[in-house]
Amino acid sequence: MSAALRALQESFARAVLGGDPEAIASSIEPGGDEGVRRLAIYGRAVTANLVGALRGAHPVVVRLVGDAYFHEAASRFARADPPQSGDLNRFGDGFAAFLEHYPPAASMPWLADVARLDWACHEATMAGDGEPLDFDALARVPPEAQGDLRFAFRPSVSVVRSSWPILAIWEANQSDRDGTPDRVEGEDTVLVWRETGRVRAVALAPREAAFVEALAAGRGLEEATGEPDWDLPAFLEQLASHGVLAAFRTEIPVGPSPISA
Amino acid sequence: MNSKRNLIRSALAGVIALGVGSAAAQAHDGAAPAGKEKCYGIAKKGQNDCGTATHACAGLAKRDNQPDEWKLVAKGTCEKLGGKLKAPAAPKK
Repeated sequence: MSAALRALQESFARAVLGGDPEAIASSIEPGGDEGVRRLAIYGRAVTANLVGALRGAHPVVVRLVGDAYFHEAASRFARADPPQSGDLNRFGDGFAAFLEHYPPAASMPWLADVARLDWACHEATMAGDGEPLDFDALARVPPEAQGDLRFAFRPSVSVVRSSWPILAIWEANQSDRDGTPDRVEGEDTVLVWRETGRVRAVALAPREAAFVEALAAGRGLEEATGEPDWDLPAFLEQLASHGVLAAFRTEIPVGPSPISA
Repeated sequence: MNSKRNLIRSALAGVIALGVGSAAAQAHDGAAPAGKEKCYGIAKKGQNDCGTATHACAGLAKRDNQPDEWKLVAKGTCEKLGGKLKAPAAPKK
């Protein structure tokens, strides 16, 4: 790319996203106010698209703060941290972190975590299906290798940890609810995943959360289980039956299936 | 250690038992075997209406007929939450 083209593109980006239409005024024909005015229209359309993408990905945040508030916050974020991808669905990764340090949101300390939950749900809608758990292969794992099993999660799975009751807030602000949370206390760790086309979000008990995070970090089943004083069988069965678990691997190779070889 | 082994063994046995007869369902988007879902009670309002209709997302066609109906707030919602949560700086009205 020639240096001149790069400079032109950079000043165009500055004009459109940086709110500085003068940056490129001299390159626009017929130039002058007319060009700048048209570019400003384009800039507002771009911002509106970006805000719209953020709005679509953060429905609960929108409902919590209101449209005008959201528009202002989202516009500022879009200018400060414009998209790095041509896919608008991917835009918004940093919005929660932005809200965490957004002074007008200081009175809503849970807002950034609610945004993280919104974003996890948004990502879950877009994630690939991944490999389902191979029950037959699991059945062939020899007992001595069971403690070493390392489960992977489906691509839609994520965990959002908060010091706030974010799941109660999130649930209360779904379209069929009036916004009043069932609980106002709690430190929610939320498991998010997609199951048969729908996004699910459930709170995990502390042991469950630690287990899921240990598996996600690549720990073996035995290590992830910790003290055997909790109901691992029930929880693992939930994870498996709801399509959270994906492939697994083990240190000891699993023999071929007697049927499909 | 033995009790842990047993716990893991029984957990895996349960998971493997799930797979019997439901492998086909699992292969498609991790579908839960029919009749499994009701056991958990975790599903309560757990699904997201992800209003992605505001931007073009062809890949989400199956969700697209959700109207984008997140209403203007309810400015009270925030304050209501602010009053109830242990937010340090929440304005008390």
